[in-house]
Amino acid sequence: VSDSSSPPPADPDRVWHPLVPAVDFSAALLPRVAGFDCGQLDYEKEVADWLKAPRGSGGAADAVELGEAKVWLYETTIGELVGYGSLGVTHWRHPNPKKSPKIAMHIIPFFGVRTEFRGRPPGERKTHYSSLIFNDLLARALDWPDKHRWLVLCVDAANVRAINFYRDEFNFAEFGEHKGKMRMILDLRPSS
Amino acid sequence: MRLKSDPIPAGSEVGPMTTLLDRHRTAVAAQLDAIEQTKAYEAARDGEEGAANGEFAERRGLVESWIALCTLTFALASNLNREWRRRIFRGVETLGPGESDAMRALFERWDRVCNNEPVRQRLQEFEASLAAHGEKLRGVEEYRACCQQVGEVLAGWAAPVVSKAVALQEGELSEEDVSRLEALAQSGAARAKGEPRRIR
Repeated sequence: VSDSSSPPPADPDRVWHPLVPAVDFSAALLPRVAGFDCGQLDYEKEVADWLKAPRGSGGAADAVELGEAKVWLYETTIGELVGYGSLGVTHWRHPNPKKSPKIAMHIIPFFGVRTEFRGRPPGERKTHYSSLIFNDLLARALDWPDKHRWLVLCVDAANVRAINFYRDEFNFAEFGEHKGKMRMILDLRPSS
Repeated sequence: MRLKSDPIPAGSEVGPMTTLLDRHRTAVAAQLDAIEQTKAYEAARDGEEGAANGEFAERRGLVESWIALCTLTFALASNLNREWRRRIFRGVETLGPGESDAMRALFERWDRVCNNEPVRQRLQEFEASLAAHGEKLRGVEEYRACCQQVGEVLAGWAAPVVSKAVALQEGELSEEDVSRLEALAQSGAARAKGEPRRIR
């Protein structure tokens, strides 16, 4: 998940257009995302590469085709591709990893904002594209046909900016480790 | 994925789902054997005798059953293929040698048995004679959709792979994770802030 390093300097005269409702992503839209770029760090490339991965290579197009995740592209009113988000359901076994019933949880496989839109539009954090997109993902998790209490994501432990974003903006808590990534979790149950 | 008749490699662990998928694949193969042997599509002839003719109605029934069997078998093969791919994508199963070829072979066989030139020709003629009496062959649209899909499945065939997003790979919760989860559930320390809004 990437919303990491410092945003690049922006043209002060640039107009930042609002987002329109997200577009469902599938393999047919791979040409649309061919130039998607989240930055040059390994964990930033990983986020972009997952979206751009050709069919049959374990990326977003395959996840959508297999029904393992939904992926959405976020664009502005003038058609600029700003970022993407994804949402699925994962299963964890406890206490016996082989035999116990699985606990289902919502999961965000990846979420990324293109470098030039990072930390934009200028102003309050909650008006940034990253916050708007992530809020949209949370709302989609709450609208999911099968409701699950927990939402999990995996983030590179070196991606401090992203970790702070999830913790400070949304209240995610650290939740152990999964296959080399830091796991973070959010309780979606509404406050009573 | 092994067939039941295949020897189990020494030291390998066969999970319950693998066994289920093996059985499923064997069942699809057996279904294709049955379809191939019955050749019921051959009843699709002499439609000129008219829909009122008893023998014709019987032949029509045979053809419609044969079509339904082809459609059902295609659905079974597609479900099997999908489930197998999902399990590898989630990291629950690993792809064994020859498995992709074996799965692809099921679809190639379906195409050979259910969608060959004599079948297409017979059905086309039979449909034409039914149409002359204002009748249609039941289930033929679904069958034709399968014929189209099998071409797409084979043309786009690629061996399944594990998800590049580790988050989509299934995992286990340790005792520590569960304690943490219980603590978070009790304390509300990870409760979502505010009410998220969709972009409209």
